[in-house]
Parts: sequence; C-alpha cells; structure tokens
Amino acid sequence: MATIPEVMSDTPTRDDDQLLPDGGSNEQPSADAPARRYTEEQKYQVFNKEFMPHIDSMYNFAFRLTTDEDDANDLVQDTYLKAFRFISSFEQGTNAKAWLFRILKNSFINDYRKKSKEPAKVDYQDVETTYNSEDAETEHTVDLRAESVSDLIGDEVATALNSLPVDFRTVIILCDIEGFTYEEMAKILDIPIGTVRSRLHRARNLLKEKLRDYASSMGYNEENEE
Amino acid sequence: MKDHCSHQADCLKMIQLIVDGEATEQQLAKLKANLESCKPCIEMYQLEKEVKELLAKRMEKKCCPEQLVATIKSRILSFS
Repeated sequence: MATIPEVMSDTPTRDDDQLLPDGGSNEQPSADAPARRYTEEQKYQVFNKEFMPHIDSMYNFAFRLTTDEDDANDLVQDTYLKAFRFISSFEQGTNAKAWLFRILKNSFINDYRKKSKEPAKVDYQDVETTYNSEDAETEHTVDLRAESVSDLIGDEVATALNSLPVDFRTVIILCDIEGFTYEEMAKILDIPIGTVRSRLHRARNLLKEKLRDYASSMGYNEENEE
Repeated sequence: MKDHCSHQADCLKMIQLIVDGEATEQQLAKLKANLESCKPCIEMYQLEKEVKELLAKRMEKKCCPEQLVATIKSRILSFS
C-alpha cells in the first residue's frame, strides 16, 4: 500500500478501490487492508463517537445529491450500515467525515444515480466538452456582480445549484457547503487535485450563469444597482 | 486603477484558490497587489466571496430526521 499518501490514509485512493466499502460486493477486506481488530464494544464506540456526529452533514449531502427526502433517507441509512460493516478499515482518529462522505458518494453513483427521480436536465458529456474547450479554460468569465446576487434567497440558490449536472453540483457542495479542502475532495471523489480545481472552476461559472439569469429575471441587474 | 484586466480568466482561478483558502503565500501577495490596482479583479473577488457565502449561509441545511437516526442505531445493534 505504498501508494497511499500519509495524509488521510483512511480514505484510500483509487489504487485500492477493491478494498473499500463502496461497491458493496467485497464483504471481506483483503489481507493487506489496514484492518483493525475492534472488539464488538469498540465497534459501537467508534460508530457512535466518530460516525454519528456527522449524520446531519451526511443527510444534507444526500439530500443535495438526490434532491429527494426519501432517497436521502435510504442513501444515508445504506451508507451508515456499510460504514459499520467495514468499520475495521477505518482507523480511529483519522478523518471520519471524509471517509463517510466517500462511501456515500460511491453508493450514490452505484445505486441511486440510475433510479434517481431527478430528470437529467443537462447532458454531462455535453457540458464537460463545452467547458473543456480551450475558450472555456482561458476566456470564460461570467458577467455578474456581487450586488446582483446579494439579495437572492436560499431557495433560489438551491434551485440554481440543483440545475447543475451532478458532478458539478457535488464539488460545490463539498467545497462551499461542507468546507472540505481540495485534497480531501480529491480523495472523496477519486480524482486528482488538478481536476478538483478545474471542475470547481467550471461548476462555479455554470452556477454564476444560473444566478445571473435569476438575478436579471428579478430585476436585480446592474442598472438598478447603480 | 486599471479598468481592464488582460488576464481575467487566470486571475479568476487565483481568486478562487484564495477564497477557498488554498492559495500559496505568493498567490496571496499577488492578489493583494491586484486588489489595490485592478477594478475587474476587485469585482471578481467580491462576486466569488458573495457566491460562496450564499451557498454556505443562505441555503437551508437539512437535518437528519430523528426517526432515521433511531433506525440506523437499531439496525447496527442487530448486526453482531
């Protein structure tokens, strides 16, 4: 396991995916997984002390991903049951929140994305292609001012966020709502830090376009502000 | 005060790093200089901060229903 960086060795990289409690298919951690021997009592202690305090954040993340309360319920429950089942691969004192978020994110992709009630509003490939183009990388800035968005209410921000493709929505939730660092996000999402950075950049440009549409439809345009 | 920024897209990337607390000392120093002399950079910085704050503070935080907490706790007790 020499490829695991010393920081956050509890949230493994893509190199050791097969050891992770994310697919649901590998009941037994392999021999070289960092398996702890918790007693039954310790398992409950770790679960209650390290995992349960994050349940509101986990629920909020699940709700923002699925945009549905029932799906969020199921997703959070599945994630916590998986976390308990694979508790031996969690090292006490390491980043439990990132570890849990990673399981939830993978469960969402594997089990929920297909049956999500949310219609696919934007084709992710199209968006990725558009925003990966040279122009998008070097020229794209959104014509919007801070004053124009300062009066938006939470529901409007949520609607704008929900209209983004899920991969873009995810980086914004992790960074701006949950306050994860880029490095933590890279581990949670199994992508390089550079990709975290550029995906966030594109996600924010898309979000600002949505916010601009909102702001101008409500009359908070520049003319009114000055 | 500059009214036009010729590398606005690059400045925006740097501004986001700073707003996210991921910038190096060097990038911080560069931004500080820009914020004293470049109007588009000032405006971009204010917008990025405002949007981040909107997301962090104005969106409702959904709390986990008590019933779900109870269900999870009872389900794991039946595991062993």
